[in-house]
Amino acid sequence: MREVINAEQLRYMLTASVEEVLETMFFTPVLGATDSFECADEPMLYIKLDFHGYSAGWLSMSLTWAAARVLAENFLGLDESEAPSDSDIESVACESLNMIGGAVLRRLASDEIFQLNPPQLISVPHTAANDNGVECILELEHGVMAVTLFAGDMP
Amino acid sequence: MSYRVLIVDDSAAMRSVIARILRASNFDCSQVFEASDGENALEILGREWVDVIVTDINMPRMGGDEFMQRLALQDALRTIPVLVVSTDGSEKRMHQMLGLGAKGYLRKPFAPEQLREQLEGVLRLPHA
Repeated sequence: MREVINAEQLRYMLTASVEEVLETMFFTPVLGATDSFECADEPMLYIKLDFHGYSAGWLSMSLTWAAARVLAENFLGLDESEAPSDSDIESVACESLNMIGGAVLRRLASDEIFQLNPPQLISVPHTAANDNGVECILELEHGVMAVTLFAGDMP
Repeated sequence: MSYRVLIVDDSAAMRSVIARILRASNFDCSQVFEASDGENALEILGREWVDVIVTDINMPRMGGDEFMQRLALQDALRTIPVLVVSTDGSEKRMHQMLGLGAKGYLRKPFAPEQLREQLEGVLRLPHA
């Protein structure tokens, strides 16, 4: 039987996964963690990804458009004269959540199989208020990113 | 030798990045084809020859596992080396895909040089 993972361990795994993904493929360092997500009046991007398999659950991401834009520029290797399209920005942000999902589930149960559904853009933030999920809010150079994970019971 | 590469991934951004890494790392590719899933990849393989395939697993319509099974059914396609590049990093999944005939498995996220190294391994090239 697998050892029970508490919320603090889960949050640590989530944060480590976000940092790994952003630094390895998006060349974007995480400046630090913060307790609140205060981005009033800033355009935002919201994404959700469902997964199932060994455990079922979801991840969601909220990030400022400015942060998403920099992620896209870095990921796509654009130089200063090139601007990513809105579609590029959304596609890259979705891919970042996809990778974060894979990275955190690997940390949760590396010997088990999960299926990740394609990330979906959503119009309002999906939070863990009703699901006992864990959240990490991270400051990036050009904005803020919040990622929430809810994983159901594991055998 | 200059290689013809087929990249199969439902994320246009990911396909673009893999193609860019190949070019930036001086991997000798004469042509890069892109497919959004396994079904689309089989359509392309019906009219184009490629030297190597880089494929994701979780894709709509036809995922990487079914795509590999379909490749194995066709004499003309089963010898094309396949590198799986996926967010799915479980040991079980890796062994499943290698069992289906994949020659290499790379987990996302990956550093650019890892992609080139894996491709060289799949193609049995000496490392640069």
